[in-house]
Amino acid sequence: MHNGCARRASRLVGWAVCVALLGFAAPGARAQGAPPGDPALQETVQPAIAKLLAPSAVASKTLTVAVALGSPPDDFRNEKGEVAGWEIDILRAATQVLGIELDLRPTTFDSLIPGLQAKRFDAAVGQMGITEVREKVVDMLGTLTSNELFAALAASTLSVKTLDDICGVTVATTRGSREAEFARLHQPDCEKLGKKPIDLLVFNDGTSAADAMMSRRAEAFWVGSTAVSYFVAQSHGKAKVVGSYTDRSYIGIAMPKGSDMAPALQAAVQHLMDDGTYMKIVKKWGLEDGAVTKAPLNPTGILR
Amino acid sequence: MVRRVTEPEAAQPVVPLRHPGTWVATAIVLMIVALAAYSVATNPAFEWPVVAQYMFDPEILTGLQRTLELTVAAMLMGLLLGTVLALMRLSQNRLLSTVSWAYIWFFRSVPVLVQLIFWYNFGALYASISLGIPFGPTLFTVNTNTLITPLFAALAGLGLSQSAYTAEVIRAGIVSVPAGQTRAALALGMRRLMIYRRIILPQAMRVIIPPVGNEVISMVKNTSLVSVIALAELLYTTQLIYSRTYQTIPLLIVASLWYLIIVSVLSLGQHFLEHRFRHR
Amino acid sequence: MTPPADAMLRIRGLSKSYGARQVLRDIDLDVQAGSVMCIIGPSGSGKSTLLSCINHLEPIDRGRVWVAGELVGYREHRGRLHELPDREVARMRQSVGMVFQQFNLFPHMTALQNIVEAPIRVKRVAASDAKARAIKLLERVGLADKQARYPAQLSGGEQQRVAIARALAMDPKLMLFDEPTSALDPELVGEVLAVMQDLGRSGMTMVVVTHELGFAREVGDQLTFMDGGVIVEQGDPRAVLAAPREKRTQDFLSKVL
Repeated sequence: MHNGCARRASRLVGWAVCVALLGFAAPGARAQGAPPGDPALQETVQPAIAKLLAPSAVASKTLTVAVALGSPPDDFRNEKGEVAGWEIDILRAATQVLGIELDLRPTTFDSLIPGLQAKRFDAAVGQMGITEVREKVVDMLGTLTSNELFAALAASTLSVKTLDDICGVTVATTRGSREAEFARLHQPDCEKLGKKPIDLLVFNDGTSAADAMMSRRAEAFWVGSTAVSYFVAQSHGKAKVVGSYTDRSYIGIAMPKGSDMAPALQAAVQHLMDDGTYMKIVKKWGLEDGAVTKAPLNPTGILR
Repeated sequence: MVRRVTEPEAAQPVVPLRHPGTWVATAIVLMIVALAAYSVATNPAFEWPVVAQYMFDPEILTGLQRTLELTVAAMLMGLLLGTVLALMRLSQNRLLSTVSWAYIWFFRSVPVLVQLIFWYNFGALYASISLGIPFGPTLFTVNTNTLITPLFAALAGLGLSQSAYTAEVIRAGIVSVPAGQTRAALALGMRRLMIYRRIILPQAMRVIIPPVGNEVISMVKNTSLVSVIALAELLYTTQLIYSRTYQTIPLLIVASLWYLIIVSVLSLGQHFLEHRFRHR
Repeated sequence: MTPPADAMLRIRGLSKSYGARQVLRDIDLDVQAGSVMCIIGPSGSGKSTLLSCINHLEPIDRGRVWVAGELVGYREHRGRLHELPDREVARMRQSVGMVFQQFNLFPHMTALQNIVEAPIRVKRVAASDAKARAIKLLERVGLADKQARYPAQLSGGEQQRVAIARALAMDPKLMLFDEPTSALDPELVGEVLAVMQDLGRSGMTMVVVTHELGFAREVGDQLTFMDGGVIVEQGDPRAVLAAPREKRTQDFLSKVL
């Protein structure tokens, strides 16, 4: 009897140890270091800029960045399962300039801002459009401007030259996008023209919005030019681009309000723009249309 | 010899057992609650002014209305269709009980999210739906997306799956009524449907109401699934707003507060219903 | 087979099995109109099953049952029995009242509501008429002042008396009692037996499965002893109880008397 009890107890302890080890091992598996980058984009350390680093970053030698995964060519997982995209390339090059490591944390969009506020990350990216409303909550560094494209089914007769052309049209887009904002701001103009308002369907992610267009729920699919171009290419002729809209807002890197990382990061990105690496990255992903020469911190006079 | 109780002894009151430990524990719990409440109220990170600003915002209230409408409609569908399914399941007729079993098996297995997406994108499978005579003329045709509106898809997805769950709860309630009740009713010359209506179901309500009350409360939250088909109910509305303004935490608090209010009201309603159906 | 002229209940060749277990074997029984038939026997002898077959609460395998000259549960066509649809069976059951061992009152209704339920819903009697009749029945079983009580508020004996009133409300030609006092505390048995005795004396045809041999002796017109699914002995209650002919009857009576 005593023997049996002892055996059962030791088995229980054995299981508990296994579970505990797994528990400790798991978090380690979550945080990802940056996958090896493109050797053509390799940067050398710039001591003058590295001096701008905040003491905490100097101590940890790491920039922790939260990434909201989306579709190519923005932040996404490639066939090897690595996190890739133009924003990742810019971040990697910038941290090389600063002489620190890049630590990527894939997460959902909803966790980005609370995570920044809780100082769990130094920065966050996720195709985030910079607006003055958002600048009240976080600091944002502009890295690219983009325009938006409209896609429709190959047989569609829709043609969008100005936003007036989508008054009364059902358009699918994504939550939190600039497109949703532009549509909302344009509704009074539709009313003034005597047309019906834009019927906007706002989905959680780009894939659902694209599906809605493909199943004829919406006449048009309207998101950032990078994602639309990729989608049309993948549709093998089933969808086509039917119009474009260029806005003056930036996409950028978000940081906690008043972050001491901002000066160093801004200087590093500016350096990339000055020495041509930035243009190499932009050309690699086909984003020349939106390239900028200056990396503004908290730009104003843009979309509210 | 029996000792007789004297007058003074008989008049002495009985002192109940005191529990000093409970008093101390109660005091500690109250103190913790008060400290927590104070901390939450004064922590600026919660952004209570933003919460107050959006609590009665028109966009939020519209989302709230949609949550309530979807909950009521889906639960009504669930109850009505569920009752029919439960009766079918218990029927002597083999065809009826098998069809009901298959329906329940299918709609409890496929995730509600998938059902919603499927109904919404039905137009991708069948661009139009026609009614006609096999190998004969077509009576009328309708564009699928016109027939299956987003609201239709939401109700189909939520209501049909809910009915499968409710059917099982109702069936359990019916089965819980003793067989003698049915025998006595049959012996009086009553027929099956009348027995269900007058004798079985009223008694089954005692067993049915608590789980169904639970289901209603779950449905209030499940309606948030319709965000995948771009319908803005309460939670999705808050998500849309904070996606724009980045004020994630206060907006989520707004949603949570409204859910707390709704569920509290529903719990009260359930309490009254249970009270009413108690055997006297 | 021709239906009987004067027997209120006639059973011929009734057999029933549950799967492999045969519960009733070739039962023949006649109960004259206005008489009280008591059935006794050990548990498992098939007494309750027999009652359930009379009002078709259980289907039968072989044989025939006639109540008031009408074949129960089946229609005869070219020598074969075809089961009647629910509608017909329900209609026939209106003329056979049944009282159960566990009372089976509807717990969510008052005594009065229990009694008027079937007359109103099944026979479409006007509510006021049904209520008046129900009050008279409650008076008859001695419970006029308990009409607004729920079954949970009544004693076992009171519940069973309400159950009897409920069965009588449908104006049955035949009343079946399935061990009506077996679930009662001893001091409550008497009030129920008194109601049953009164009912028998008023001319109701009754078939009573019971362990109360005193009742059988006092009120019964015929006594049937069943064992193992067959009728072993039958006759005048006083004669059978005093001097049983069959050994099985003797064994049974020696155990209970």
